[in-house]
Amino acid sequence: MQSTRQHAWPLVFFTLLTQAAAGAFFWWGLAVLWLDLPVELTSGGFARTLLAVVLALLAFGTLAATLHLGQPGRAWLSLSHLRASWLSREALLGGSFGFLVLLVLLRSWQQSVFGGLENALVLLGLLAGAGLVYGISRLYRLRTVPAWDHAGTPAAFFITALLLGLVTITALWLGRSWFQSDFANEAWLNLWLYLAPLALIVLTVLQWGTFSLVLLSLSHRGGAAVAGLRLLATELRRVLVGRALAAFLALVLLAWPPFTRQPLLLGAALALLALSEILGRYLFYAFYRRVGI
Amino acid sequence: MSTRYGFYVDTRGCTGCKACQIACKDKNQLPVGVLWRRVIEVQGGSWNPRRPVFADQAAAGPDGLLPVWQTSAFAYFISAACMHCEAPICVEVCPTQALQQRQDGIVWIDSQRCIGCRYCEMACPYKAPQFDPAQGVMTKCDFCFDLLDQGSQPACVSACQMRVLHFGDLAVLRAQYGDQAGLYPLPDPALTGPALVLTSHRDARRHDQSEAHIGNQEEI
Repeated sequence: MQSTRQHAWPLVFFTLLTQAAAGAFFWWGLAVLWLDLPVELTSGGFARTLLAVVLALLAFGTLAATLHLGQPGRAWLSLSHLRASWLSREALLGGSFGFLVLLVLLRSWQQSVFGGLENALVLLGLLAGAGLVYGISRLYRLRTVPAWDHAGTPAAFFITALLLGLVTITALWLGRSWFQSDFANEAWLNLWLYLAPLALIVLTVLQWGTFSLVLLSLSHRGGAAVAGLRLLATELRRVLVGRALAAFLALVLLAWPPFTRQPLLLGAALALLALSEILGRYLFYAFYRRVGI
Repeated sequence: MSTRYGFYVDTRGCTGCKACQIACKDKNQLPVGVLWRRVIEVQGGSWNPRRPVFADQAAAGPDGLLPVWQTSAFAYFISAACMHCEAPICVEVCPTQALQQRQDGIVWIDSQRCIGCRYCEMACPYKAPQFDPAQGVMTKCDFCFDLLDQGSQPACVSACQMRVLHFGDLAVLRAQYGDQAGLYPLPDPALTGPALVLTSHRDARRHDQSEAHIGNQEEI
């Protein structure tokens, strides 16, 4: 197998969904720990919905990964090699992250105001989520796959997590404000709708900057690294162009304040960003080339 | 010191007959699409018009070239299976420890523990672990350790008609034949430390060259 394309899609969805979950929890957790948020946003309806969405993303991502196994019934054995295997560590980190998110969700039902214990759980969840994204990226840092074995891989994975996390939360905001016209936290919503597009623009530019640096670095490495680049220029160029177009259109929509005030246009920008990330992750798997045979 | 098994391949004499491949497939009852031992045909070179020397200049055409062609074409074969590496990346990455290495260096798969994640397949530079879709698990060359334990040879070694495929204690093989293990298309031996010794064909290329290519990609 020199190409992973034939069974890439389950892994594309696993990595993107889990990174979106980690990213959404990161942004929310950061706000809970550092800002004086109203109850609705820390332990109330919006927060619980967000935490449930995070768990759902994690669950669907894990399901996709499990179903791609040849023997899904033995998936629990994947925790057996923590000493050396990053896939084992990823399984542990994913389980830990999910468990902590669930605990925070349960506490939000019991405790309307977050205290020391809840904040500690949120902090642990942030760390577990960051560890999960790092663990996923380390899994791909194989010394026999030069196209993946560089600092650009964890950088791209973390940027994706932050980006898709923002997309998730913004989509949730849009959904809530669409259905609840007397949404009590209008001030926070307006602040979010001002800051989130800026952050999305910065992250998208960072993502493309990282991608460009990776391509430049691989072009100097020869052998299997260059073989992967050739694929990008030939068989995969339409996917690359599609990714670039989706990101560009999203940036246009996000950069113009009148657009970001229109829910449908903002929603379109979010969908385009998500599409760009999906195509980007597909490209990541598609230009896999291993050294040797 | 205990024995550490390795393979020796004399690429000067390999004819690419694939008897080793067939013997392995037969002994292990491998399904279609799964090949634990593969015979790789390496090709390169070309036909080039010869430039005239002084005596031939009168016969040269308008482009200064003689209508005479010289060949630099070459081909050789390498029989490759699992290299039972000293630092096996497959054992390192396996999340279930289905891939294990014995004291004698043989790397084998416990199929009852394998979850078919294909991570080892992604990592191995020798394409040794191969997925069996019918069983949903990874499979690979196990050095015929069942035969070794009975005092016999691996099936591929027994089948080699040209007597260019051998096995034995890796230290003994290296003392006898050298420590070459990095001929193209095999990767840099420093990556995983293959338990392999090769004698180079006269046209053999290093692992990091670009003059040769694999002529039977679809077969391996």
